[in-house]
Amino acid sequence: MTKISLVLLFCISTLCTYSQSGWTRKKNTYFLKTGFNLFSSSDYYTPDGDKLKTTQFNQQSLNLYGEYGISDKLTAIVNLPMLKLNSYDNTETASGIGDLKIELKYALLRKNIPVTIAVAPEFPTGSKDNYAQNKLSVIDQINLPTGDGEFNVWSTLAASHSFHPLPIYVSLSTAYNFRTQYNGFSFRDQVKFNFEAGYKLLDKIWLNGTLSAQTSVGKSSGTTDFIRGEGTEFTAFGFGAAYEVVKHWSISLQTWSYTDLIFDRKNIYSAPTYSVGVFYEIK
Amino acid sequence: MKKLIYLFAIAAFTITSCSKDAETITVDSSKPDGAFTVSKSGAFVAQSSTPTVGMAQLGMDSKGVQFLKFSSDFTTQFATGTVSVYLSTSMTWVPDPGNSQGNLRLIGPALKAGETYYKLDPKADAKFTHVILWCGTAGVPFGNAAIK
Repeated sequence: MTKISLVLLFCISTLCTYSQSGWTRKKNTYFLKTGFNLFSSSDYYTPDGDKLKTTQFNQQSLNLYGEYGISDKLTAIVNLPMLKLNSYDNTETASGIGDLKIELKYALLRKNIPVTIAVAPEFPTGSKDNYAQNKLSVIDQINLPTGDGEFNVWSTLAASHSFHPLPIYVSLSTAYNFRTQYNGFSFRDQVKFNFEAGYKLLDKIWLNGTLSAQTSVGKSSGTTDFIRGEGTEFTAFGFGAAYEVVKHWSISLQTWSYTDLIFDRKNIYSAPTYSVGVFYEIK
Repeated sequence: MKKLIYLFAIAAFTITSCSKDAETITVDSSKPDGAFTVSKSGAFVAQSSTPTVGMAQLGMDSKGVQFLKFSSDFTTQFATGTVSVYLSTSMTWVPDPGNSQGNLRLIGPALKAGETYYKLDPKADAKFTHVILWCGTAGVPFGNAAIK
C-alpha cells in the first residue's frame, strides 16, 4: 500500500458513515473510534412514501468502531452501538445496546484502482422489543427497540481511486443486505449504493462529502414497527471533517440528511443527524 | 490498552428522563348478553400505510347494554405499540381538553386482531359519527370508520 493510500484510508475510516472503500489496512495496524450521534425529527415518511407530522422522535447513540489489519490484504472491522437511546417527546427513554456487526474485508485489487469485497454479519445483540411508556397516558406505550431483532449479512464491493499528488480521493461501492426474520415477520433484502469524495485542506484537515441511496428488493410481506427498517428507502447526503489534534489522536465532525433525489424516502424519519467522534490510529 | 480505556471513558455518559402525569381508563371486557343488534356500522379505512381493515359496529344486547364491536376480520398495526380506540365527531382526531362534552371519547386500547367488544357505559352520545384508531404516542392515525 502506498503512503497516499494509507493517508486516504485514515480519512475514509474516520469520516465515512455510509461508504466502504477499496483500501485495506496494512498488517498489524489498527484504528479505534468512539462517536456520538444525535438525531431528532417529527417528519416521518410512511412505507408508501407519504409524509406525516408526528410527535418529535429522538435518537442518540454512542458507537464503538474498530479496524485491524490481519494482513495487508485482509482487514477485520467491528462496529457496536454501545448505547442507543430512543424516545418521543412524550415518552420515557428506551435504552440499550445495539446490534453488533463484524466485518471481514479482502483486497481483490491493490493497484491504481483498489477493489475490496467485504462480508459483514450483523447479530441481533440489541433489545428486540423495548417499550417506552407514554408520560401523559398510562394506556399508551410504543415499541422502540435498540436492535432490529434479526440476523442479517451485508456484502459490499468497493473501489477507490487516489488522485495523488493531489490530495483528493473518490470511492464507490454497492452493498447487498441479506435480511432474515424476526418473530415470524420476514424482512425484505436491501441494496445500497455509495459515493464518497474527499479533499485534504491545509495539510491538516480532511473534508469529505457522501451520497448514498438505499432501496428494497422483492415484495413486502406487510408492515411492522418503523424502527426495524422494513422497506426503508432513501437518498442520503453528508459532509464531514477530521482534524489530527496530536499524534495518533483526532476528532471528527459529521452531518448527513435525507432527500428523494435517487430513491424516495420511505419508512424513515427525515432530518439531519449530527455526529462527533474521537479516534486513535496506529498506521 | 490505556488508549482503549481512554476511549471507553469518553464513551461513558447517559441521558434519561422520566415523569408521569397519567390518566386512567378501565376497559370492560364483558360481552353482549343475548343477541347483539347493530344500530350503526362502517368499514375501517386504513391510514398512514397501516394494514387496517374490518368493520366497526355500534349496537345493543338483549338487556339494552351498548357495545362497540370490531368484526372478526379486523386488524391494524399492532407491532408499533398501543393503538387507542376513540369515538369521534369527525374522521380527524381533534382533542378538546377544556370541554367535557368534547369531540372525542376514549374507549380503550385495541389489543388484538379479530372480533372485540367494548362495553360502553354510559352509552355513546348520538353526536359521534366515527371510530378512530389512534397511535397516541406518535400522534398518528392508523384508520377510521364512519359509522352510519
